[in-house]
Amino acid sequence: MIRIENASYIYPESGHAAVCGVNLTIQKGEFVTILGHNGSGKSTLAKLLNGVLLPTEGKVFVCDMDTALEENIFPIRSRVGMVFQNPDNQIVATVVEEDVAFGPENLGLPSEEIRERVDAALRAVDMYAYRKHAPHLLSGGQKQRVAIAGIIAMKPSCIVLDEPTAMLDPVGRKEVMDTVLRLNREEEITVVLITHFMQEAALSDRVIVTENGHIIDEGTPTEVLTKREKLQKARLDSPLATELLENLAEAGMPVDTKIIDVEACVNSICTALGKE
Amino acid sequence: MLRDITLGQFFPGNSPLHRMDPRVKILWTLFFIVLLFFINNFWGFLIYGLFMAFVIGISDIRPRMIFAGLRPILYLLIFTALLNIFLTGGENVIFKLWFLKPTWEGLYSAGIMAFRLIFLVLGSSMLTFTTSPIVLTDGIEHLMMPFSKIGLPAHEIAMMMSIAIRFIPTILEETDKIMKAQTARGADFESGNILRRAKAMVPLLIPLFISAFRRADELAMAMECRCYHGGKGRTRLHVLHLSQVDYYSVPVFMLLLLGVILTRVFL
Repeated sequence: MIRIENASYIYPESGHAAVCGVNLTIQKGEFVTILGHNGSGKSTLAKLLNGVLLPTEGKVFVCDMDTALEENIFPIRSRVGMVFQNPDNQIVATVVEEDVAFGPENLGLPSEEIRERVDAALRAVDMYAYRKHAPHLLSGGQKQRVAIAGIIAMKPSCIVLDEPTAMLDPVGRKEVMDTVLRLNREEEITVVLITHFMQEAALSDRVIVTENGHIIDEGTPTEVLTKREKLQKARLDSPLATELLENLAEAGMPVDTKIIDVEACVNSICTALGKE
Repeated sequence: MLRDITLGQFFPGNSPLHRMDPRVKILWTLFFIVLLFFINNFWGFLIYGLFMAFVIGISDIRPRMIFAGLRPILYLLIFTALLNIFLTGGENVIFKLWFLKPTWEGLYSAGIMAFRLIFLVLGSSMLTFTTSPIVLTDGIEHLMMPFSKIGLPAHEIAMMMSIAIRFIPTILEETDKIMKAQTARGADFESGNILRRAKAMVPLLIPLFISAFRRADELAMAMECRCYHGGKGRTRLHVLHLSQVDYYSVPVFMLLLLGVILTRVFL
């Protein structure tokens, strides 16, 4: 789906190298999380994925199309949609359905098809009931779901979400994550999630940890998120469940520390207590 | 408090006037305004008054709302009327007071002027009352399309207008937030004379501008990511097309035209 070959990006104004020699392949239908603290180059990496930024060195291919070629840019952007952090700054229209229609309108589709796509996209994010509402009256989570609908109305095969939950409250965060998960499982859309929240990373198929523009670790969430030293090096905290289990293990309790989600953590502690 | 401000009040509804095509509505409003300046006696205004009553009647908007729209121009109305009464030269002086010589001719032209202003405001506010800003923008875009051949950026102007409308509540909300933040730091926006208050606005406007530019930057990127590339090859979700109401409006306005012509010729 997306292939990054030895790509680097140096900001021309500051000369800062945000991405250095990254190699990465994202398979179709995958849910990949790119994890990193602020300034680790994860957002820049995301912008390379649909040609918003072009790598200063190396290549990025989307469905075997080079992002550096001018004629590929629209086909690539209709295949790889992008959702940003601030929902306010990506909603264009004053009515929800008009905003969702913005992408398909740019693709030059006939209006009946735009109608179908808008309705389907709004249903997919569970915002159909709000289609006539003014976006500024919606909650943060709802706005972000509208933004996601605006992307899926273009029928992309991949969505890149750049910290979509960073500005939301816990309720909004859950709404957005549930929507993203459902799109990945049911509609088989490839998802690339950029985040610094461990709980969100834990939901994905594969986690990639970035630090200083390099990929320093890669693997399943359980593999990656239970390596405390490596996470600390990337200036990230372990998931709460893992941290608790590690502290318990240090204190001498026979628990499994290779666990990242709360439920498995509870089970592990229960069995450990039962053993005692 | 700042969030309540709206641009050109719009009252949602489903009256024939609401259902009218925005292009037709804009054109008829222009027609209404131009025709207004051909009226030269009060019989013409009587016809306009009857027409206005008919339009307001079918618009589903409470007349009180419509006349409230006249309040801001009250002073302008009085001012122009006074100027007309006292400064129009003429034979028939009503009375003499020092250098003031109001004339009957002046009174007459003051009356004409006042009616013109009132109908001007009523007519154009009927347009904004029954058309949502976004539909209005759409109509303007379509009407400007022919001029894009001679280099007028019709789509771009319409896009800028609709984005401006979209961001009014967002920016207002932000203004409110910055105001509170600066008040918490000891800023005082309410006391002092005009100059002081204007100066107090600086710490409000600077962060507001910076954030507006940042928003613009992000929005532009988000729009590009959604394949925006100007008006070329762009289609629309809602396509404007004429309906029955638009056809029925033709004879109504023709009657108005006929009425005004008759008053000019015979009265």
